[in-house]
Amino acid sequence: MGKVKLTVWIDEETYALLKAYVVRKYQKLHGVLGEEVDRAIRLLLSLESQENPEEALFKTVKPSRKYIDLLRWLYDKGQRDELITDTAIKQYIRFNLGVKSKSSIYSYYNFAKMFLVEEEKTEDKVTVFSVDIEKVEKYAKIHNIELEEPARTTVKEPEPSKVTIRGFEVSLETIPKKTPNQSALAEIVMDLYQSGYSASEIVNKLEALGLNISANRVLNIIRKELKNEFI
Amino acid sequence: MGKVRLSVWVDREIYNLFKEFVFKKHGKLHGVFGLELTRAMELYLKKEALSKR
Repeated sequence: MGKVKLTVWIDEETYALLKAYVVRKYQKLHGVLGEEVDRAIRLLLSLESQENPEEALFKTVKPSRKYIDLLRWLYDKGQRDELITDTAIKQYIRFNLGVKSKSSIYSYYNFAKMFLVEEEKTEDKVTVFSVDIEKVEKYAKIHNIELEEPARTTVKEPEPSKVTIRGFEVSLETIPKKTPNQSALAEIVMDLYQSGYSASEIVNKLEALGLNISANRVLNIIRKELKNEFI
Repeated sequence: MGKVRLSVWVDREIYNLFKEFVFKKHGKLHGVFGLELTRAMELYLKKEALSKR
């Protein structure tokens, strides 16, 4: 079969993600990037050729136990008309579903995004979503999932709490009030740090979550994480 | 959001089908071909990430 050169301007972020994926899969880019683009186009065409591409995508994604828990949590949020942030979703995945590795958290986050509508991206780089209940129900129907059952949690659900971050009310109910382990704490600190908060602001935010940590410790965590990233 | 130029070799038949699909959907190619390709890549990455689970 003949080949043709495809040259096109595409979204920078998506291109970076695709490149990272290809390098992970093949340990190289040359000669294989085109194959992956080819597959991406085939997928889009096959989904679009069906009457309902969204339904087709839902059918291809089989629900695991944790997917179902996440789906029920989203459904609950949607029913209460609550907005949720990307951070809150990742915290839920990490602490309530017990998912540890970053790549796995990202996969579960991607699953959640199938049912979310982006409402706003704040100055603090926090993305705020609402839940599309109809999509949740559609997925549940396809896979015979009972949405009303309480979600299984590995950590006792803390009291709902909200904090205001630069005038924006953010739900933090999924963050446990107990002191998390070192890596979890580091992740929270780095999330806040990368959102532009100073060490003292981070201390205040953590205090709001019931975590009493000194500014020195926060600074040490940031230094250590930055050093690790640099290495 | 920024754009970058992607240049790859793809199957001719798939390329033609994709062009046809984009044209049918938007009535043009200019300005939307890249958008549809970005969408295809996003979908593909999402599917790949989910199928790992």
